[in-house]
Order: sequence, then C-alpha cells, then structure tokens
Amino acid sequence: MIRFFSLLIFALGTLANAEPMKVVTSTPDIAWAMRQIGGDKIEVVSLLKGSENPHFIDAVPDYIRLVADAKVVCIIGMDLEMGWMPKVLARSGNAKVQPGGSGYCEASKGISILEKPEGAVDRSMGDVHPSGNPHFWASPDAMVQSAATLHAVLVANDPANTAAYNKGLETLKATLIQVRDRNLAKLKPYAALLKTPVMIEYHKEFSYFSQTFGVKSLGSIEEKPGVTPSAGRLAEQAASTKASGVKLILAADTAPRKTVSKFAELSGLPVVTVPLSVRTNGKPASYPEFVDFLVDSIVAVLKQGKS
Amino acid sequence: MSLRIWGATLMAVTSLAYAVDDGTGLKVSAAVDIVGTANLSSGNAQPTGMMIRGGEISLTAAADHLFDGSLSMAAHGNEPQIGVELHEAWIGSTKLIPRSRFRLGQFFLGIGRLNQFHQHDWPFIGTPMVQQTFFAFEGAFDTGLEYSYLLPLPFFLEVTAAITNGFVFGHSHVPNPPPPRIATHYGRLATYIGLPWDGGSQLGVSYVGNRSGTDVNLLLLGLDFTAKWKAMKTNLFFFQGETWYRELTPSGGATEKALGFYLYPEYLLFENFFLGVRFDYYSVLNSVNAVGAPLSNVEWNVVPTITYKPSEFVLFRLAYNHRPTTVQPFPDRIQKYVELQSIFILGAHPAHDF
Repeated sequence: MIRFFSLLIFALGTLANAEPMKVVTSTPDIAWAMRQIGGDKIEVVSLLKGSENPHFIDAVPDYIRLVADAKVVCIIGMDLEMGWMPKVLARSGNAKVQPGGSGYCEASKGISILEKPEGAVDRSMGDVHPSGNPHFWASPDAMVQSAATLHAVLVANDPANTAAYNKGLETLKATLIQVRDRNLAKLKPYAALLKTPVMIEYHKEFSYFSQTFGVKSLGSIEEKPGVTPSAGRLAEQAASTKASGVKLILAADTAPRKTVSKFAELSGLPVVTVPLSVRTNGKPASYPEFVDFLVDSIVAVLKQGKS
Repeated sequence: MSLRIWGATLMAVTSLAYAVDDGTGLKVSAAVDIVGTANLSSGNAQPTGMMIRGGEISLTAAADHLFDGSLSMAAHGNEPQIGVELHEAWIGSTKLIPRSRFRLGQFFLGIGRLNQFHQHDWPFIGTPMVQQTFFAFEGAFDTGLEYSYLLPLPFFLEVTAAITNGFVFGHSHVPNPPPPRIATHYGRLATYIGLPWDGGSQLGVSYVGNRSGTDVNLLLLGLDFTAKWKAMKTNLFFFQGETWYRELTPSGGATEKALGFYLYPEYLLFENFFLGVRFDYYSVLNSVNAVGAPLSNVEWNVVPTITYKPSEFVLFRLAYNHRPTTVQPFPDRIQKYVELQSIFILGAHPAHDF
C-alpha cells in the first residue's frame, strides 16, 4: 500500500513538473520572444493583442486573473505600462511576479537606451518617459539585447529546463539576426537616399528601428509626446518637412488618423501606416513578419522615389 | 480644522515630496476639485457660487518588502468653513497570501463602484442621490479590516469581505457616537465579462449590514455595472450604473424601504470631448402618512454633462441638473442648476482600476 501511494505521489509530481510554466507578457512581441526561448516548456499569454496603444490601458480584471496564475510576468518596462500594470500586479495577489519577485522581469533591462531626457522632466513637456524611449521592440538588435533578460527569468524560475532555454536563446538570437540582415539587404539599394532623413514619425516610436536599419527620421509630427499637435504646429512642421526632402510619414496604426491625414495633405507626403506590434489575432502574427512589414512598407515608397 | 492646520499639513507634505527621489518609492500626489454652481430656480439645496470641493493629498509607498501603506487627507470648502479630514490611512499587503489582498486601517469601503473611487476620479460632477442618501456625498469610509480573494477559476471572480467599526455609517461627523450593537460588515462579489468589439464590463453585487448604537438595523444591497469600449487613448463609449436597496429598521419600529439608482452613459464626441447623461432616481418605497395611507416619494435628476479632458491629469466639466421631486406631503418642485467643475492632479497619481 505504501509503495502504491509512493508511486502515485511520484507520478503526480512528474505530471506537475511536465506542465509548462505559465508566462504572461504585456505585449505580443515579448510573448513571441519568450516562445522562441521557452518552446514547449512554457505557456505564454500576452495581455495586449497588439492593436492597442500600450500607454493607455486599463487594469482589466481578466489581466489580473491571468497574472494571478502566472509564474513569470515580463513587461516592456521604462514606464511604458506604468498607468495600468502596477495595479494589475498588485491586485493579482501574486508576490512572485510583483517588482522584486523572482518571476518579475522588464524586457528593456540591458538594452542600449535611446532618447533619455537630460535634466528635469515635468508634465509640461508632454508624456516624456524619464527613463528614455521605451519603444525598442521594432529593432531586432534591441530585441537581441533584451533576450538575455527573458532567458534569465525563465532559467531562474525553471532551472530544470536550463538546457532547453539555452538552446532557445540561441535560436532566438539567430532568428533576430537573420531578420535584421535580410531587411538590411532590402534597404541596401537605397543607400544614397538613406544618407539623409527619409521619414517623419507621428510619435517617436521607431527610433530603435531607425537606428538598426539606418532609416533616418527627421523627428516627430507631435511637438510634445502624447499631445495631439495644434493646427499651427501641423502647418509649420509640414512646410519644414516638405523642404527637407523627407519621403514619407511613418505612423503606427494607433496614431490619430485625422491628424496624420491632415499632415499628409499639408506636406504632400505619403503616409505609411504600420502596426506597432505583433498581433495575437491577425497579421503580423510573428516578429519576423512584423519587421518585414515595416521595412517592406518603407521600401515600397523609396522605390517610387528612386524610379 | 483651520486653514492654518491645512497649510501646515500641505507644507509638511510638500517637504515630503522633496524626499520622493530618496529611493523609498514614495509617491505623492495632490488632486484639486473646484466646483461652481449657478441656480436657475429658487429654493435649491446648494447656493450659487464656487468652492474648492476637495483638495486631497495622497501618499503611497511600499512600507517594506511585504506591506504597502497609503495616507490621504482632504480639505473641503472655502474659508472660513474649510474642514480637513483623514480619508484613508491603511497598511495592507498584496504579497502575503496568494491571490489575496487586504488592508487594515481607514479606507473607503470596498462596495459598489463610486464608493471605491475618490470623488475627483468620478466620471461626473455631482453625487447621485442614492449615493448621497445611503453613503454621503463623497462615499462611506470607516476603520477596519478588508480582505479580497481572487478565486482560482477560469474567469475573473473576486470576493471581498470586511468588518469595520460602525460607530457611524457614511461620512458622518457625529461627535462621540454610541458604540454599534453590530459592527459594519460588508461583502462584494465582482466579475468581469468581455464584450464584443474589444469592450469589457465589470459586474458587482454588494451587501452591507450593521446595527447602530441607537438600535437601528441597516441592510443594504447593491448591484453595480461598468462597461467600456476603448479606442487608443480614450473611451469611445463608457457606461456606469449602480442600484442600491436599503432597509432601515429601528428597534420595535417599522422598516423604511428605499431604492435608488443612477445610470451614466458617456460617448466620445471628438478628441478630448465627451458627452454623458446621468439619470438619477431615488424613492422611499413605503412612505405613508399619519394614518398609514401611501405617499408618493420619488426624486429624479437628469444631468447632461460635457467633459473636456486634455489629459488624464486635467479636466473641465459642465453639467445641467434638472431635478423634479415629488415627496408628499410637500408640494412638487423642480430644482434646476448648472455646475462647472475643474480637476487637476499634481504628482504621481497611482494607476487606476478598470
């Protein structure tokens, strides 16, 4: 009888260990990266679908439920999710995934931060992120830098599968480098055009992308981050953009359409509307698809300018 | 409390604000709520004029690796009647018991919807009649212990239970109230329901009970519902409504039964501008005259409201109140007034619930 119960306990223990570790991420891009590292050892859920503006989300009760069940929670960090994630983490009652816990991770740790403001920051400057620009995920290079953080949190919480995570990390890095290189190759024929700024962004969401691919940006249509530009600003900025030889307006599909359209009308430039993230349902369904789409959209406009 | 004390408090907190960057994670914020009223009919309850309805200062931080603390104080009214009160002062934890959070101290009771938000975070200007009558103009707070548990289910279901002193119920400033026979105790069950087109909703049911020191038995039952459809930065459509039923039974006396609700749909007109209408209803269901004949006792308020919200830290609201009252044996009357509100928040305002 004792032997039977011992075997039963052992079997149950084995089954429990075989269950994939529950990982929750704030955005689908981080979820994709986690899946590459963790494979079938983890079960990943992204709270956001990829169509939202990650700055302006509510602490939806369903997010709280998902976080309560998670062993690892990974967010972008750098204050991107500060309006909602602290509440989700606290209300989950899950100590492990709250800041300081073994299952909490910020994917932006370890990346080379861009646009960190110097000096004092206040709200008169708009939605300035004091820690720097958090929109790093459109750059495969920055994703490679953040991969170590994702890998570390998986290993720390599931050391038994370290070998699998090590292998996954290498696969992820190789995929990201491949994505970068094939897209750099697409841009090579336009090297002459890319010597000067070819795009203006609506919001500074593509700085890391711009750095990786050498697609220089003139700046942003917004005068202050997070604040819709006035009619005067639009007219002024449109005139100077037109004069600068910029080829296109790059706007995430979360940008206000009317404002972007008005700017396009005033500047005479084409608008390239792109997703800000991988989508959990719909396209782009994977990170390589996401970066390919960004670069292909820009190349399509540059091609017209070259011909 | 005098303005001088409020000033001293403000100075003390301002000094604390300078300590924010000392690595303790202390978050200091101030919210100011300015409300002006213009009466369009005579005999209204509130005078024409403008006042600082609330100036609230909040401090929140992790007290140590397990516990969090929160302190908020508010000043109400203009000189010379300005009063300062402690809104919340509690210690709690979200790390000690899995799937649980609790707080110990003074807090707004975790019941219904409005009662869980400070007044400057409400979606409209005035206090709905049912909220004002059952809880007080800002909501009910008390001192005690509140515990919430998130049930391990494939959908969101959170249960909250609490017990508080119950010396007073609501927002009373009665000096030396007699101790309650049964302390205030309450519970709430809340769930989340996803809605089509990326919408979401929260449904809650609440229960409150106590027996006061003057031997009046209180029973409150509530239903609250909130729904949101968000587009990028803002809500495209927002709905909030609550219904409350109350029974007040004095020892050996007849039970007074009252029912009230408010419904508030709000629509994004265009960028930063919202149009909402609040429908308020309150009725004592079993109002009778001296010989026991039933009396009409119904109050309504229809409040179209325009909100301009350039950011999450500043807003301006304009509302018109049309408030017909039929409370026999008094003559019917209609109160009409316009309200203007401005709210601004300085400092680190904590993240909000759904």
